[in-house]
Amino acid sequence: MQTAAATSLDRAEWQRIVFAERPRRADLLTLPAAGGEPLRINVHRNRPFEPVAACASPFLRYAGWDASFVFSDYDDSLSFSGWRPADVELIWLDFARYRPFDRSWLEGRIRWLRNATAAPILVPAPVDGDLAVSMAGVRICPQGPIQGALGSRYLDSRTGVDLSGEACVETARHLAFVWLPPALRPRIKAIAVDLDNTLYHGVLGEDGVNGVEMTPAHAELQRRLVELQESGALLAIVSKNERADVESLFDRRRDFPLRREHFSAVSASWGPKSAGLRAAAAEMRIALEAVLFIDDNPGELAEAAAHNPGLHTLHASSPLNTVRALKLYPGLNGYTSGDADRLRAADLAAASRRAREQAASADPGEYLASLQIEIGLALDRAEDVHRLHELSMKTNQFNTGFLRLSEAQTAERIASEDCPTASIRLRDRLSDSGLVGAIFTRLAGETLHVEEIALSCRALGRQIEDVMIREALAGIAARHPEIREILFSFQAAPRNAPARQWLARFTGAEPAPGDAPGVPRIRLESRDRLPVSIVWQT
Amino acid sequence: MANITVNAVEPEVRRLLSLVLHRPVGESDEVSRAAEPAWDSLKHVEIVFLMEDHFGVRFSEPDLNGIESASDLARIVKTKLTRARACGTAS
Repeated sequence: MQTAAATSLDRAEWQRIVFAERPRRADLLTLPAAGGEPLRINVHRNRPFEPVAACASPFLRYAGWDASFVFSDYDDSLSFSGWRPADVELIWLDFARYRPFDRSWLEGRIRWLRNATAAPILVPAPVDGDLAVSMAGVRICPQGPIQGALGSRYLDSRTGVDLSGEACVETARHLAFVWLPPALRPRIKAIAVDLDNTLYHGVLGEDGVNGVEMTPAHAELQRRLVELQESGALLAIVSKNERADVESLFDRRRDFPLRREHFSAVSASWGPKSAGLRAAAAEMRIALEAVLFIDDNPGELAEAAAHNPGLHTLHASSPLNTVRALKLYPGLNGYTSGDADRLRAADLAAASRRAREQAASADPGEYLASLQIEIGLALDRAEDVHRLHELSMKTNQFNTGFLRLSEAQTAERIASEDCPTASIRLRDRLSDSGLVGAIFTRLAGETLHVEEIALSCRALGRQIEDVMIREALAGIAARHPEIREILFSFQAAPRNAPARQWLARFTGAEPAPGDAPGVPRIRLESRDRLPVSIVWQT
Repeated sequence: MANITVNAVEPEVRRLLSLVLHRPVGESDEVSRAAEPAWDSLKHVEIVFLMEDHFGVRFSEPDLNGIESASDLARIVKTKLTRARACGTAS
């Protein structure tokens, strides 16, 4: 089995092919096509998809999937005959064959598929397609950016495929890098960047603050990072430099598009970058699997990957190549920026301020009261479906069930009377943390099974986990007077010790895998008297 | 593939065919649509896209319909490269 370091070096090599301005078919065919997580994709179509699929494997492999495609017959009616479950359903239509195009018909066919499976449904649509299907787990994938970039080179009437060879390659790249990742995986939360010869030309320790060069290409890279920060990605510096020099660099170089305040964590030291990354991730309260590390030195990337399994790495071979890679890197693009993304950086800054205030306060109760915490609770709120799904998919440390619910499964629970689902919002004087908690339950007679509690790390550290969860469960119990007992499922995972410890304390029983420690309903009524406001939202 | 010599086209065509057909294609192997089960109409499109992209040429519709073998591919590519170079338009 290949080591993480070797994989990182291989991926650095592949970058010049998969992120090329115009990827070449012959180059793609030389990359390994197999390997990664198995992924079965059903293709429901009325036109050929094979020329796209033929060049998709290298991109999918780079994104971490070993994909297989199962093609339907050519079927304008989308009958889904012979349908079998898959990991992804792709509807690949030539919309020009429908004149006039009946949107309600297509919605009906997608609804049939939605009812048959909880798998994500992707519908690539042309630039003039009048599609806005709003069903959980259904994603309209715009082909407009591809068409716009290729212009007259997009179509090719010679072959019956309609798309040109170049358009097939670009469609395959979008499928693997832009369309599939948001449907199947959590977004990369943070980008950690090296400084010297990555964010500018030169070496800070040798050339000095005024000696390093901001080239137009490096400025473009920095502007792209600012855009990503503004769309919700956290930024961190991981550099082998003196901390004082790094602070001075961002204070004094006013020509840098990136400012010190764009970074949520700075790790500047002469130690290994793998350790710097761990420190930065801890400061940002995120797992290393949610971090993309960019460095101009493949050796540093390999060292960081070797010591941090799951870390994403990107070789900064040149600033313009890095800009292009950032526009395509799987896990960064195609995601909808929700409130949680927009609030994350401000919430992290507030966390540092809270920690300072707590350290300076002699009275924990007084400190808690000073935060003016407000907990917002809601049950079965359809508008929250995407964020609840994200919490189920993303949280690792405070996750009791690891259900990893798809958006469609989350929507199904919200619509079901048997599966009360609670949303927990949190804000205080220093920040609005947004929707930070999800509780997924199932009613069975007089028992409420709590199948998963998922809390964002940003909700932790204020000693209010008990009150948030207790109040949410009490709200469910109030709507279902038949409940006499509450049972908690627990699924052990490598990093969910905080959830296990909380559950053991809350229930008074140590959970083991598969165990369901219970608490009597009455316990919910003995509230802590904490100085927090509880607001139920409809 | 601007610098390829005309003599190198045929080996390069065979190398590309081995990649796309997922099997070795030797120097003297005659690879034809009729004898190659994997070379169906959609594979034909894939092969055409691959050759065009690699050699920087564009096949006409009659070219597409006339390609029945590796030799045909090499012949048409050579002709197009020679013409393009004569006109100074080779990519």
